[in-house]
Amino acid sequence: MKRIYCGVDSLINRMLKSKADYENDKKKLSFEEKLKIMVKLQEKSYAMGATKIKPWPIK
Amino acid sequence: MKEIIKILNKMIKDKIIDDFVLGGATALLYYADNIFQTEDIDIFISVKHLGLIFNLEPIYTYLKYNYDAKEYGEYIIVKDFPLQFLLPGDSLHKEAIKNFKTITIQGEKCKIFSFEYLIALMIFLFKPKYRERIRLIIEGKTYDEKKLNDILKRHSLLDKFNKIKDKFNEENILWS
Repeated sequence: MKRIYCGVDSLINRMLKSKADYENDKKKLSFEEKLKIMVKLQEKSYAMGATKIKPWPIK
Repeated sequence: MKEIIKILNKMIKDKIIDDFVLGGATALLYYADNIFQTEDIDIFISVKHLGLIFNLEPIYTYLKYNYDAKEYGEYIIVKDFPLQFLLPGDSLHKEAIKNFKTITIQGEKCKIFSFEYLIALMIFLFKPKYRERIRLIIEGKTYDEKKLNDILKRHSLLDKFNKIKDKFNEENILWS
């Protein structure tokens, strides 16, 4: 049987690195970029029927 | 968003309101690293000649007449943006409206509550949706702790905040 070495340490390091990158990226976002992401969340809620309020018209 | 700020500034020019400051999740979005979802824009207004009873009718009539706005529950929809006009009723809101930060949104200047006052207001109201917001903000540690404690102390909210923090700490221990 072929043994698969999954390299747990490197996987954890990669995960931690991407988490740190994600946190850094979040900090770099401008107000306008955050607004756009928020509108995406509104679009999702509206599409799912969670709210009747239409998403803000920000593209 | 830019259009809304323009309309609000026009309302000042037309003497419908004296001033406005943005609050709620829209203002919070400016300061916090996390993205908090909201469906409306909270607009705190100041009106010089405020009687005992103030109604929003003149504001709504102005918006309906000039911008084809439509009422929807507690909101008034202007250019597809749900707006909620609010008057600072208590001492904390009244103080917050004087402690603003001027920012530029899509090229338009506007005032928003300072970060510490936004946090103090969430602690004061402590709606269920504010719980997670406060937790994330505490974790983010991007606010001025001294300034926040000073506001909370003056408005007898420091004990409430410490209890909230203790609760979060207990939960963190349980989950770790």
